[in-house]
Amino acid sequence: MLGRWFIALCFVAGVAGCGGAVDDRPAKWSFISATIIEPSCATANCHSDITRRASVNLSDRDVGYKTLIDRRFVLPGDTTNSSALLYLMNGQGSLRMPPDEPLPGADIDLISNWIKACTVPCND
Amino acid sequence: MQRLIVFVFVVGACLLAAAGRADAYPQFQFSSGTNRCSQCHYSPAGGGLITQWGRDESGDTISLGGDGGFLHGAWSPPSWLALGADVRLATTYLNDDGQESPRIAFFPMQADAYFRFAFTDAVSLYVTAGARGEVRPADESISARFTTLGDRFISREHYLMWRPSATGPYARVGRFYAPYGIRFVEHIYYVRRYTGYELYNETYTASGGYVSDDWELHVSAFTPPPASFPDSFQAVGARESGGALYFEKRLAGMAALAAQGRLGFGDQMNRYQGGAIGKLWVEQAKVLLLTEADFIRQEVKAASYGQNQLVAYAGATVFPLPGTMVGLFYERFQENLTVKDTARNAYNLQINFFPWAHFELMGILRYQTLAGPNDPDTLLGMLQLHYYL
Repeated sequence: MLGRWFIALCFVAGVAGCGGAVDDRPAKWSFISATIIEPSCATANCHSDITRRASVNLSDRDVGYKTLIDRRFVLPGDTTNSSALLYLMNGQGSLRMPPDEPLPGADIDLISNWIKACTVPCND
Repeated sequence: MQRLIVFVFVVGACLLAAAGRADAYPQFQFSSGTNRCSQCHYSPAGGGLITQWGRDESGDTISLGGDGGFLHGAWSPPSWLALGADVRLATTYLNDDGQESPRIAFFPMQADAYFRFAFTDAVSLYVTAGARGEVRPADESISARFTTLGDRFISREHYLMWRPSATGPYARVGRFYAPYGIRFVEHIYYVRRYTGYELYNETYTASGGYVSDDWELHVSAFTPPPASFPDSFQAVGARESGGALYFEKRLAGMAALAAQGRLGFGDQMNRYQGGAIGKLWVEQAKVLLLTEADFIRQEVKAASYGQNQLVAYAGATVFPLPGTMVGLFYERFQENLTVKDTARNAYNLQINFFPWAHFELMGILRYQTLAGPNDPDTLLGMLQLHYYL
C-alpha cells in the first residue's frame, strides 16, 4: 500500500512539470527581480545583502536595479544583447552567472526583453 | 591532557576560519531504528546539536565504531550544558559548458559551534554560532579567510524553548527555520532552495507543536530579521513573514506520510505553498525511500502576475554496509508550470561513509539539465570531509 503511494508521488513529481512553449510572463523588473534574480543571484555566497560579491547587491528590487544600471551591467534599450549581464548569464568571456546553476534560456530571454524595452527608469 | 588542549585549540581555530551551515540527516529516520528526528536532536523538528542518544547512535549504529560522545568521550559536560560543533571541508568540480568551465574549488564549507543551556528540565536556550561560508572569496588565501572572520560571523539559530519531556507539547521562540519539508543537509537540493529554506534563510520564528512516537505536528509563525539587525543576524533569500504547518503520521515504525503548508508575505511577492512527503523503510532490502512534492503559487504584486511552480524530490537510499549509505535521487523544479522551458531536472548520486564516530566522508555527483533545447547541462562533483565534535 505504502509502496503504491510512493510510486504515485514519484509519478506526480515526474510528469507534472509540463507546460507550453509560449512565455506570457511580464518582461518587467518587478517580476524578474522577485522571481529570477533574487532566488538565483542574491544567494549566500554571491549577491545577497550580507555578501555583496564584487560589491553587487541584488537582494532587493530597488537596490538591484540601481546596481545594474549605475554599473552598466544593463544597457537600457540594448537591442543587440551586448549588456554585460547577458554575457555573464550566457557564460561568455567570464564565469557563467549564476556559477552554481545556469539560468534557463527562457529566463535569459525574458531579461533580454526587459533590457530591450527599457527606457530609464524601467524598474516597474 | 596537553594533547587534548591542542586538539580543542585546533578544532576551535578551524571553526573560526571556516563556514557555516548545519542540518539533519533525514535518511537516518527509520533506517537507524529511530522513529523521531527529535530522538537524536535537541530540536523538536530535528537538525543541529545531537542529544546523548544521538551521540550513542553515532558510534553504535551510524558509524563503524568509536565513541560519539562530546570530545570523543574524554569529557562530559554537566547535565545543564550541551556542546557540539560541525566542521566541513569541501572540494567541488563544476562543468556548466561556460568559457571558464570546468572549475575546481576548495573551501571550508561549514563551521558551527552549538551551545545548549538547560535552565530547568523544561526550559533551555539554544545557540548556534559560526562563520558564513565563502566558496569563491575575492582573496582565496588562508590568511584572508581568517582576517575576514569578523565580517562573516553569524548566528543562524538562537532560541528559547519550553519542552517538558522528549515527547509531548513544546514551544520555542527565536531564530530557526519553521519546520517544513525534508530537511536535507545539502541546501542545493531544490526542495530546500526553492521553498524558502535556502542557506542562511533562518527566520525569527515562534513555533509550537506536539511530538509523539506515532505523529508530530509543528505550527509556526515567522518573520525575517529586522533590517536594523547587524549582518550576523541577517538572513539570505526572500524576506517573507507568514506561517507554516507540518504534520507527520508515522506507520508501524517503518513509514510516514506528511502534509505541509506555508504562507509567505513579502513587500514584492506573496508565496503560498503546500505539499506532501512520503517515507518508507524496507528493512529486508535496507532501502529508505523518500519523496516530497510541493506546489507553490507566487504572486508578484507590482507586476500583477501570478505563477505556479512545482518542486519535487524522489529518491532511494540504501545502506549496503555498516557505516555506508548510498543514495540515488531525482529532483525537479519548474519555475512556471505554463512555460515548459523553465523546468530544471537534477539526477544525483550521493555516497556517505562514516568510518568512525565523529568523521564522515561524503561524495555527490549531480547532473542538472534545463528544459530549453539550447540550455547547458551542469555536472557537479563534490567531496566533503565532515567532522563533528
